[in-house]
Amino acid sequence: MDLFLGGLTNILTDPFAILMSLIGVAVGIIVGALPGLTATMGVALILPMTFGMEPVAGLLLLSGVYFGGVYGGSITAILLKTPGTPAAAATALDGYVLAQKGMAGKALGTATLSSFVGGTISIVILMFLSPVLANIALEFSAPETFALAVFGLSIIASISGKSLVKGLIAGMVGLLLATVGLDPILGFPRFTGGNEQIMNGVPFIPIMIGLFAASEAFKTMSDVNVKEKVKVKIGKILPSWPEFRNILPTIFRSTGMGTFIGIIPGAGADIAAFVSYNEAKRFSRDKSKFGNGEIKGVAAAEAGANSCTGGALVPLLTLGIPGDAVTAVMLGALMVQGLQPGPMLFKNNGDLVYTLFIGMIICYVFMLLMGLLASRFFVKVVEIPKEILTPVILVLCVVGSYAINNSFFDVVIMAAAGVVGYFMQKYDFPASPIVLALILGPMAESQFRRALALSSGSYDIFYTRPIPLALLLLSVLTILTPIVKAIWQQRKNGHR
Amino acid sequence: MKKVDFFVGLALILLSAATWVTAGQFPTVGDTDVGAGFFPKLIAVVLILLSVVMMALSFRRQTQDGAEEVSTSWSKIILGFVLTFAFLALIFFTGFYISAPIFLFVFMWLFGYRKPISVVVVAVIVTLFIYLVFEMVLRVPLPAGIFFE
Repeated sequence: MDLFLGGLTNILTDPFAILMSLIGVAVGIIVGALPGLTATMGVALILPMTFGMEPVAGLLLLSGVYFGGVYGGSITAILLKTPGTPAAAATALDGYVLAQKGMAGKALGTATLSSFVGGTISIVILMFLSPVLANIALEFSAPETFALAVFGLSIIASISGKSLVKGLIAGMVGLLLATVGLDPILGFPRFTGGNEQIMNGVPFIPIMIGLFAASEAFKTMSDVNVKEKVKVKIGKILPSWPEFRNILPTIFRSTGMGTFIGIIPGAGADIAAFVSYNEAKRFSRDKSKFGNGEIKGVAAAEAGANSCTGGALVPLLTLGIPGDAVTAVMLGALMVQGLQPGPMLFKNNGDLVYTLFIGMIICYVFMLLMGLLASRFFVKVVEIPKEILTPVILVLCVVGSYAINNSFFDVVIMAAAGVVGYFMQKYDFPASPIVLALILGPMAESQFRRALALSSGSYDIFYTRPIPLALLLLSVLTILTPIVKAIWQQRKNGHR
Repeated sequence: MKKVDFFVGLALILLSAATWVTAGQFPTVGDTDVGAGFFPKLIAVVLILLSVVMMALSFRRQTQDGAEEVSTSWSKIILGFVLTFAFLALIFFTGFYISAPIFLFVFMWLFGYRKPISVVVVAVIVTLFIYLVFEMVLRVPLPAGIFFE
């Protein structure tokens, strides 16, 4: 309890941090709303700016962008049928129909309220769950951590993108890239070709900025489609109280699912949104309404997506393993601030963590206020032409990647990653597995070898202890399930 | 799945083979450690397997062509890449604060946004904003360019 109060006091006496939350959420909503800018990209671009800030302020700025970004996509999803962010794709299904029926305001208001409720509850869950998990994680040793890293990798590889094979390939390429540099145990330089700059490994943040931000910018630039102006009348913003009461169960259910999905390393807001949407449809008595302007669809998708944010922060903070692509970026932020996420974070910086939690709730409050009051403003912002946006984003990418290490080499890497990332996207190779592999790969390898050192070279350390065994089995299951499903589908289709 | 998959697969197989050979020369120390080459070689093997699978799948005829291809303008993409790398080169020689407004202006102009006043305003304001945030608030210096160092 006193940690909670301590956090509250810290935040209230830190106006700069509060300001950063506000700015973060505002930027996040704008980034989320603009198609062609994703929440991940926003966080990646803002990350270098947190370099010189106090940890709490910097992390709240990023959290604000994260939360606002996931929510912001719903604005364009509802008004233009174009989700500003993948997580808002499910919102568009019913949101846009509602807008066409003249009820855009209600849809927007519902999206705002659902995101707020979902997000806030997930942060509360985060607050109570993470100390528990951190305690368990304190007992973790090398074999457990190795298995956890493998689990995270297996999920992200199978979930991203349409093709399991391509996801796994992306993950493997990322792992390979991660081996460049000094070997973690022996210090032997691998694949460095004598280049001193790579001794510490490939620069992770510039690659991330390139893959997530620059490649998106390139993609926006190359797509030839016309943007329609928003002609939809907005109308009243809030749903009525009885209506709201009616959708509350949907919101709560979606929040539960979204938070849980967020906790699973690798699964992100877009999945949470769709699962919540589908479940809401399954639970409803009149399924035909979904897709035809059912307000519960909007509520489910948005609550699910935003509740994923709190969930994704759980493995990040307690185990140091990202819950999705955005939290992978935030891992970078924590490293830049010199904080090592994991159980130690709670032990050594407990008050900082709680201050952060309270700050995150404040972010969501800001989001609620801005969503309800300033929706019309955000709609205007969406009309900025992409000919202006694209070069500005590219400039920010350059600045950001330079600022981390004052290294021009990093900028070139970023640009190269941007080009590669563009082609990857074009040919359906997902980019998230690469980034996660860059983080989890070194972790997996060093823990694997350390585990072997502990067991004097015997591999049974991985299957005689319960947690590693369970996680490794889950990993295999995660990878095999899509394959089995595909083969089964083939058989079914073959018998027709 | 298309031709691209086939060639990417091929390239990856070559990459993995090269990795295998190079990593084979990495040292091992002691009996409990698998050595510096273990992981790279493991990854290389898995990558070869996956690439073979992907190449095999690339021959499969496409059953549904449901996904609408967003038409890409190759000229725009090449232009974008060229401008970006030109930007980097320009920064290298003349520094960030000269290159950025030029890049912004040229990019916007070449991509069709032709309102001169707006373009200049955007170029100047963005550069100014970056200057304020990075040099003043964060105290992170940006490249000055070798002509000026």
